[in-house]
Amino acid sequence: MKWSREPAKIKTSRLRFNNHRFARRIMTHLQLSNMNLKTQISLLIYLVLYAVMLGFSLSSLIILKPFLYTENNESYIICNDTSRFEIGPNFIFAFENKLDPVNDAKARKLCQYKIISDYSNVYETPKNTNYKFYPVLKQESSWANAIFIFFIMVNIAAICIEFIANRLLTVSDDFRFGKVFTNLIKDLCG
Amino acid sequence: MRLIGVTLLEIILGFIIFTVFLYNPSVRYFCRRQIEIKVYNYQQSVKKNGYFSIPQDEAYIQTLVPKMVRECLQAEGVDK
Repeated sequence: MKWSREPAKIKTSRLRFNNHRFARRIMTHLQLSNMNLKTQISLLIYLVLYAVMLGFSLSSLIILKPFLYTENNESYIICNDTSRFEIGPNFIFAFENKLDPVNDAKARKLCQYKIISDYSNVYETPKNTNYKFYPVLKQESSWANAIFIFFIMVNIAAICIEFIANRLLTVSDDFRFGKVFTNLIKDLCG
Repeated sequence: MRLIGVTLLEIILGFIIFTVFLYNPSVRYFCRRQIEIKVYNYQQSVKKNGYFSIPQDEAYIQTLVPKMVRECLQAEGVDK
């Protein structure tokens, strides 16, 4: 039992040592050791606020990313007897490129008997497919929209964080990368 | 040079927060939004002829929604 535990202990201590060295390297590189505790905590809060803001802005890219959907208003079926029906106004709907079994039955009845909303199944569903479905696909949102909202979110959040940093935090100007955004807004506003 | 270092650190930290905490909820929200837009599109198309959507259809759509959400999540690689 002792034999099996020892290598694991060595691994953990190596990992801690490496993490410690990495942290020290970052601290040396950014010259954080010269700062007092209050400034270090201020910088940490400043960085965390920006990281959270960046995370939420990236989320907006995912939420607003474009997708295709079937436009029920314009999609239509053409029956074997060449009659044409729009699906949505005839209570047939498609959420994908094809009709599901329930809506397939509705389309068959529409083509065969020219009836809609036979929910009590008075008419028998034709056994063979007697129509062709032509879906009209439309795109909701776009990458341009998503990226635009991403930049708007980044700018608004940066202005808020810089406002907080000016009032409550003691962050050196050397670290204030967010000032780019506030300067940009100042320039735009004249 | 220090500013570049902090900016890079910031971007990496932001990506980590996004990947660990925010990616999953964002995809779930995206899928819900996608399905709601599809359902809303059908409800609007029914109104074209002056009707309101039929309760039987509404009930059927409600049974489809969880399946569609699951399929969307699987397509996005969140729910396996």
